[in-house]
Amino acid sequence: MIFGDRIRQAREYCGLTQAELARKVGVNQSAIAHLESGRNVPTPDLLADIAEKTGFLASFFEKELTYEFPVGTLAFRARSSLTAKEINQAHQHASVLFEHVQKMAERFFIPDVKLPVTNEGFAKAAAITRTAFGISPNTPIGKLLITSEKNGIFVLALSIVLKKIDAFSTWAEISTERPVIVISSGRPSDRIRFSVAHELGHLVMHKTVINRVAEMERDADKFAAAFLLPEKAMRYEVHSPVTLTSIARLKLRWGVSMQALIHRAYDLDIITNRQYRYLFEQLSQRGWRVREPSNLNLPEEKPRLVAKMIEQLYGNSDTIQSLARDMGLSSARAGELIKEHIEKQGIPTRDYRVNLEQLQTYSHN
Amino acid sequence: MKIIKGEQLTLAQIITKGCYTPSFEDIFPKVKPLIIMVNQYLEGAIPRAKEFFETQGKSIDRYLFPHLVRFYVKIQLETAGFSIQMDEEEEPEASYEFERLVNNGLSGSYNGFRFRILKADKGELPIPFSGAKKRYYNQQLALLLDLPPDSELVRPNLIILWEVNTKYDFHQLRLACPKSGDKTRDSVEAYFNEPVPHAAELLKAQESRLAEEDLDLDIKEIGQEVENR
Repeated sequence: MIFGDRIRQAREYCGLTQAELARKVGVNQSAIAHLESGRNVPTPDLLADIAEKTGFLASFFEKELTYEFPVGTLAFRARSSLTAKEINQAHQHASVLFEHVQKMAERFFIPDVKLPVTNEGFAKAAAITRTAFGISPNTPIGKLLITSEKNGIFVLALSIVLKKIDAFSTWAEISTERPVIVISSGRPSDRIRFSVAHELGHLVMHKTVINRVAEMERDADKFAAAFLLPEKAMRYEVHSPVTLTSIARLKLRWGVSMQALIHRAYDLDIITNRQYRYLFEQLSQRGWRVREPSNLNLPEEKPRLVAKMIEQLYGNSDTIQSLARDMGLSSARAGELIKEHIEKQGIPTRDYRVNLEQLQTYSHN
Repeated sequence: MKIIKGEQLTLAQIITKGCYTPSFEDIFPKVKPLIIMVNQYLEGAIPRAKEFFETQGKSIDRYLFPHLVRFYVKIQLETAGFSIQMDEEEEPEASYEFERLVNNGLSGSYNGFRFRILKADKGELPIPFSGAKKRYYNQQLALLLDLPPDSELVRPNLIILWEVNTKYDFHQLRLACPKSGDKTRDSVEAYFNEPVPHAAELLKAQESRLAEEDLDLDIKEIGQEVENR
């Protein structure tokens, strides 16, 4: 049996409209609409063509979609300038990866969820989260992605660069209900860290309390600032005169952007409005609002949980083809999907290694 | 004939080698920590001096402004342990000329180098006119030495120039090594006068903080696993 939901999923994954997919496989748009709604069933040739053009295996379309990965905070962006196509593509990349992660996770002892859920305001919520994670109240947080994973959060790194979204999050079923954070490719570490902290804020504060979107986004930003840059530590470490040089030093120590540090110092009244404006003018003059100096780039952070599962299940005795088959994807598509999780040298397999260069040049046809 | 590093030479031998030309590439790394510090203090002092006029409700006085900057920088350098002199204290006879005050600066020493901190004159070294500043400019290095570029023997006088933009905001520092100077613009020459990167661009990222952490993940025993492949 062929499931229309899977055809829609593959199409959205590729960022195609029904009309665009129809053109690629030589049918009209309504034929695709009928396939997706389940009104019609594709011929074996058409199915093979759809599979080829989308990079999915024919077997993918025969698996029933039993669990829809929640859209979570991605829904907040629906009102922003993102198109539905962009949102759907981001969602389907996460969905396809999540579906396999969900299965792999059953084979492992996954760390318990220690992420609190609270109705407290952002400052207290951030402090509670630090305590729950076992992080001391006033020290910099090391690898935030791994710290999150150690505390039961799944971090999925997408291989595509999401426009205007650094990350999104949701609570999803993995044996039990678990927090999942999805991050975009192509973002610098300081930005990823802040975005992950922002999503932690949503997961902690907005599971039960739903406010207006703008308010929730603002609260999540403030949570992230309080979580990464605790007030007491900032008051101790941000000395007058606050300069770009002193801020740059703090960036290296605390692992957040210079802009986030300046905002935080202003929010805490450590610097005046005049100083705040002056520092931002100085950043702008040097082009550092767009790109901060490269010598201040933080070490790359990658999530490890998915990579560890893949290494243990496929790394020693199997091949990328097995992973791809289990996911219902072509080898290239599977490699592309997991490339942000694996190390530069690829999966340490016996007879096949994912070639990142090949993957990067992989075309959607 | 090249001089080998560490070779013992008499002054006469050194003189016979011909000319030594100080280079930015050689000297800048040796004074980088000083540059970072001066940069940071100027970044703090310049808006503070600007604020002084704003709180008075006055437009910025271009003569007084560099003095205020110099004063604020001096306090910070002294707090950091530098022995710093204001130039007019060193040569009081020169400070009566109002025009000269604009580019008066601070002087001190670092890593064997004597340095002065001066406000740039449109990116150039200010005219020294006379006295100690003129002597500071007129270094006779060219007559004496021909040493390898990384020579530890020579410590030429240096000048750190600071520049503001039209809004009196900090623009950049320049590192200069004066060669000569007198009472005219044409008389002023430098071995080099190069802009230096902002101090924030000179800091080194420390990778150790995030380096070694990893995640432990245990697989379930065969009997415990759920069929999923």
